[in-house]
Amino acid sequence: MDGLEQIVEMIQTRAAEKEKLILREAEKEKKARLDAAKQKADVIKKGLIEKAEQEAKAEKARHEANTKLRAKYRLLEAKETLLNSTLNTAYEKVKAKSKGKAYADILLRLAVEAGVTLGEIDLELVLPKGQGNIITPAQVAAAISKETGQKTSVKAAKDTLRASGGATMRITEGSKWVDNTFEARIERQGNTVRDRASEILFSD
Amino acid sequence: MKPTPYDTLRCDTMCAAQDDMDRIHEAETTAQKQIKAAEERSRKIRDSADQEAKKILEQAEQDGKREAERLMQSVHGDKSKIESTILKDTEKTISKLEASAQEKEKAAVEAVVRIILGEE
Repeated sequence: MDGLEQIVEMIQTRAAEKEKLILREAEKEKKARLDAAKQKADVIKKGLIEKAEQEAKAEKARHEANTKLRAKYRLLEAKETLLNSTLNTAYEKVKAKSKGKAYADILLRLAVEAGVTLGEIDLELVLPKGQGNIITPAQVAAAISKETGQKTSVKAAKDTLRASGGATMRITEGSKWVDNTFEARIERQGNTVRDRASEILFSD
Repeated sequence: MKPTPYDTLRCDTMCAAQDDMDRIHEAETTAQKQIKAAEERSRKIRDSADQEAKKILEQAEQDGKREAERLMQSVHGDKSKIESTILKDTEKTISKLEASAQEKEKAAVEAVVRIILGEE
């Protein structure tokens, strides 16, 4: 091969090598970009899925907590209904006691308790309408005197009570009194009877 | 004037040299074109890589969002199941409570009556 041919061949060879290098570099860069894109794609996809999984979990947990709270209220509501029903039955039974045989003893006990609580020696006995003959002021006075050790006088009041049963004791001037009617006792003992009834109804 | 043999030889030599230079120039021009074409192809390869990378990322975003949507939709079903189970259990508990309370009601009523009447 002569010198010219050698030169031409050299030019051609160098051009071919340069061409290969350029294309090889381009392919290399392409591969690197695609690999990087695939990695980033994985991260993006995983990130979206993880976020959704967390949201779903939180949403379920919130819903479960809300539902449990609703269930708790439902249970409390049911207990309240049962309790109220029981208390109403009891209150009707209490009121019915005023018609029973043992009412005289009950009335006397409540009147004496009221009188002793007042701590005075001149008292008035006030009874529900129509119940003036069941106990006498003398009976009440004797029982209070016995309990307190102090001679106590009790008079029958001229007015009557609007109540189903029980009695009110007051001092003669009327500025101090103890209301021991069934209605007043139901109101006063409200929390106590609720607790007691609850304890019995819902114990294991 | 008729050219001398020397003149002819000189001309032949000069022409051959010019031919050689032309040949070399031609080879170089071709080489440059070849390299330029390679660079153009290289640019197209890079551009297509960018587009493909963009598509890959877009696809990943779509796939991720689709899966996220599917997950959130499945939550609705799960929530219904949770609610149904809890409320069903609650109603069972309430039924038991009512049955038990019914048996104990008499005792509870009597206790309340005793308290109200001052017997307890």
